[in-house]
Amino acid sequence: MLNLTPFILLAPLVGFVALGLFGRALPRAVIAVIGCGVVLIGFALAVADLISMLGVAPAQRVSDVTLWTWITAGTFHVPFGLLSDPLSAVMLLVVTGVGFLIHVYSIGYMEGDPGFWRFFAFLNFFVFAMTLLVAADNFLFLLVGWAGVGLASFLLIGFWYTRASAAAAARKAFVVNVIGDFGLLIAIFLLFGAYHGALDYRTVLGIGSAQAVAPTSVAPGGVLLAIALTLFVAAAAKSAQLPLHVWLPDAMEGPTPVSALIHAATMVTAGVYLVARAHSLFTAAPTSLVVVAVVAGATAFFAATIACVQNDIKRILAYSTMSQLGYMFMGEAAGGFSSGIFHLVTHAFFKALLFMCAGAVIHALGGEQDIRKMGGLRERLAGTFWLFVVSGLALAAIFPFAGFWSKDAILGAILQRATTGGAGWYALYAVGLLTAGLTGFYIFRLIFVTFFGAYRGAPVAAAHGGGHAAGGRAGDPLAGLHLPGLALMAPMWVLGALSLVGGALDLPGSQLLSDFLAPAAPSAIELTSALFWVSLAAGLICALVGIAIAWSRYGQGQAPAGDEARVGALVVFLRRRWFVDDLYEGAIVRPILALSRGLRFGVEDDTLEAGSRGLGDAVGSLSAGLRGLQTGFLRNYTLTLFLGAVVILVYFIAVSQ
Amino acid sequence: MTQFPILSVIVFLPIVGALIALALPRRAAWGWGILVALVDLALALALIPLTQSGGAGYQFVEHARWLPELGIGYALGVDGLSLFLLSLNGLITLVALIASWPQAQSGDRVRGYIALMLLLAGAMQGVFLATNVFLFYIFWELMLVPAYLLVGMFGGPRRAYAAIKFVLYTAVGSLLMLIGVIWLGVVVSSNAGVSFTLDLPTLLRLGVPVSAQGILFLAFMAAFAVKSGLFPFHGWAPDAYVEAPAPVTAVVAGVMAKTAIYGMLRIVAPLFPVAMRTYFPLIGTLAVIGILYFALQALISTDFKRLLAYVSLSHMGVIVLGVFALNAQGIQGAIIQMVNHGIIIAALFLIAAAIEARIGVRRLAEFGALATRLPWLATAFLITALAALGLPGLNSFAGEFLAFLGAFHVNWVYGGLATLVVIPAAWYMLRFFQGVMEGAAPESGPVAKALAGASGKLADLRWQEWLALIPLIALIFYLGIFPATLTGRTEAATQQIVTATQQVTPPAIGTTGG
Repeated sequence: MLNLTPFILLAPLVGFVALGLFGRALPRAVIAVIGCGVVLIGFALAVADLISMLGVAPAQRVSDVTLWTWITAGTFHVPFGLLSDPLSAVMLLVVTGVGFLIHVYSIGYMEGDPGFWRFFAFLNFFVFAMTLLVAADNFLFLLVGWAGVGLASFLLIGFWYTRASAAAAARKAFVVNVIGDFGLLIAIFLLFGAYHGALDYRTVLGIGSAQAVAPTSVAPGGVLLAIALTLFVAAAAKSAQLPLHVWLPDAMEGPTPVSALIHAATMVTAGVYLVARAHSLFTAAPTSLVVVAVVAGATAFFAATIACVQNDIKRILAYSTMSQLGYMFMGEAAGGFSSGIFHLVTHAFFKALLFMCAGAVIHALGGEQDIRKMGGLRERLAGTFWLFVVSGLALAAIFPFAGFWSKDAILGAILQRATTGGAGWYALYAVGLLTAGLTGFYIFRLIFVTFFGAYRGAPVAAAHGGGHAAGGRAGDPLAGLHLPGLALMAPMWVLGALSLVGGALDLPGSQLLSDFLAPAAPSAIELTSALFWVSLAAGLICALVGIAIAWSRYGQGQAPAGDEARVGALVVFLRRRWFVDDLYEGAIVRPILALSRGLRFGVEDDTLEAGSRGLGDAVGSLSAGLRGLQTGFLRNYTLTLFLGAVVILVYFIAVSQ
Repeated sequence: MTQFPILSVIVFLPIVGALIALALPRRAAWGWGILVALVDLALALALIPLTQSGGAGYQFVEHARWLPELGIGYALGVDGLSLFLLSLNGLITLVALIASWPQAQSGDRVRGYIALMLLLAGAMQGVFLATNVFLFYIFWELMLVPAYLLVGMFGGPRRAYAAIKFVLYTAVGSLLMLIGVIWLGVVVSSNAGVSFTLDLPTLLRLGVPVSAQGILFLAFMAAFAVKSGLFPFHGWAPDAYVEAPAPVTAVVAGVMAKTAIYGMLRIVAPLFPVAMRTYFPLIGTLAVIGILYFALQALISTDFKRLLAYVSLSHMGVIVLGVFALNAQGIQGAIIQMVNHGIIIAALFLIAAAIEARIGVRRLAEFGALATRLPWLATAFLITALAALGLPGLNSFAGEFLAFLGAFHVNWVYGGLATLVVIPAAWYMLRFFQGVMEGAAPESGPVAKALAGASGKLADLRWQEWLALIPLIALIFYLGIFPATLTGRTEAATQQIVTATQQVTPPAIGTTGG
């Protein structure tokens, strides 16, 4: 079996180094070719790996290459090694495939930006770090990739770094992600103790190992639970689950391709990948899966409620992403690890597309992101509109779009778990259905308000190049509309097709994906069971009800301006994001800073002064002779010290004899 | 002795070079200093392949009789513990001298400045190489003189105050250590019934009686706690780091503070292992408090040089914690982190100096948007800042990870609390980086003037700055990706320390074992 993984990592790394060092001096076309080309090479290699993997028996689909010994310390020995197995193969295809499409989209989206070279350098770096994250064969290099994608996120959220809000959002994202890194570090320390210094997946997770050691035989239950929960802290921070989600909405300060690539399709799903990868550790500590279920269910619902009242087109999608990530974790908590990964894949298609459509709208309107100032764009941006509808239907999980199959696989897994697990799992299922309804509502509220009715915004300034302005009559506020070019539209059409047919990856009866993933990520439900069909129907009905409510309120393109007046406190509560951000500011950030200042005045200043005060007179007399200190003081000091030494030495020698 | 005395040359080349610098013409002094530092670094680097990595124990040993009736001998030797510190000292001295270009323009005093920098480097090489405890002490005291004068004569407005405080703190610590040195020789020789000796291998062989370990531990740790800036013995450090010229701070924080950690590993851990374990709760607690406390102080510092002083102290606490974990991971982490911390903190102080040289102030609130004009300085700054906050893949991560891991393995509360520092560390480093380089440009004040070109063109990195920063940044990457370069050669020394400390009672007394 082929293992080209090192080269899949190398390609984007080469792109990053080349563009980072020389990009400033290169013409845009060259930058675009390098930036997109290296990711395309990565994708081609990942496809080659997959084909080769499909050619061998399922039990032999694991291959490991060790590149060099990273560190040694006593019993602790960590090589830098890369793993190729079905789970990493799927992740690599998503990262390089969707990543490549978004790189192409970026050529159009960032064409006028002076930091064009820097943007592609950072995107390439992200792809490198993300491929490392999913291909590492041990927890330490997982952490290296984990922190690397956090850095890429920081660089790209703060891409327009002279905007104070972008710089602040980048910092917030980084610091919250470091909380996740902390969780991963503690998990690694605990694994080090439990597995006598081993951190590789083969030993710890039994991947590719014939005689896998059951976690319950190496560590007591309390330690296993602590390992699973600290891993989940890392997953929650990266995947924006409560209460570590606060960075994701702010991350929308970054350019839209970044939101599509990092904050929708790939990086934020790293937590879902981690739970699937380490599923043997989670299932060995069943309490941890209950925690995952509660956090994920709460996040899915919480984020969906907020998405219902946001007016910033990208923030609606950001909350939607949080909510969908919650779904993925819910599926995993119920034991449907392959369902979580299935939804991760389809979500990468349709959520990347949703962001790209939003980007096309923002681009067309010269930077406007407030849906209240949109409306009536259906005819002018017809292609974008239809793609928005396709991806919206996929998100809302309407038959036969991709999200329908993957989300309902998750709901089915929960229902299956509930038949043996009891009332709590039925409650989780109910939350899943309710959130499905909210999803249908918020995404079609977005589509109706943006594309239906009449245009409500200010006249759009003429297109920059003049090359692809919409033209039209005098007095038309949309005369200056910047129509999306081929670089924007081509990747969108590809993703549109995938959003439509992506469900075919794991249809009832064929089960391509779950069979392929079975050794790496087990599934919880037979997709042909009666239970699954019941679940499909229930999910579909909820989504349709949500869409119907959205139609009744916004179907004529009504602006959502009057919401506060009508619903009052509830909408305010949702607009303030359930006051979670305020809670952070008031209960964590301010107290830490206040404590630090208190220590400065109460402890530090005293400590700094103690040198002079504590030694009192010595300082007084010395300061008097300050001006002559180069000569007098030092000589005397040295002399005294040596004389003292000699006296003491002579004394001790005399005593000891 | 037919062998070329390479260790003596490494120690005395800078010291002799210092004397020559005083006699040179003013304009030649800077170049001379760089040349001497470069040769010293080359010799230290040459030792790395020449030293047998597998073998424990001293190599290239040199002995000379010197006051044998007092048990004092001139004895030098190198092993895995000191090997990389010699190169670190050579490198940081070299880049600090290169970055001392502004000081080199200061007229007559340049000769004194260069001579003192070289003297300091020679004394530190002596500390790292001495295998006689009294010789160690002499070099230890010799470091104080140039360090004090560099702060007191070439520092900022409050230099006299900072220098006096520095001397007072270190002198009190040193005096206690001196008493400890002599008491150590007396106790060991009388216990074993041999003549007075301070030869380190002999002391190790004879062992220190458990009853005396506690008091000796405290005497030596007094000096080492002060010099490493362990909380709450750090009172001298923020003032000295802020007032000293940045290249001097780079050497003091980057190398001199490491002599204290080196002393803990070379003398305290193998000679007083019982006391090490007894006092772990005390020193471990102080280290953890310091790690978090200094991080919080860095978070609210407004002067970015003071911010860096706290950054340095916080990370030094991590190294101390690694030492006191007394297992292979903790000690290995401490040894390589000494090198990594030295590289990073020196780079940070040099970058701070580059910023201050262009704008003229250090108050963070006055800054913003400098990356628009200084992209290369911003890039160097970002890489160094990421290394400092412990980004996995860059050099600091390997060392701190091992130190945290070692501590966690001994006691998860200490290890867990210390590891928490990664969160404020990310916060304060990005606050510093973004505060200077990103955000909106200030509308008035020195940065606005500089951006508008009111006081000449705002130039990106000059060639001296390139030259000083490139080796440091290259090492930040290299040692992050291939930390086994270090750990492979420090492994034997680490094992030796771990083994020594696992002998709970010294062999000289004799026990029934068990």
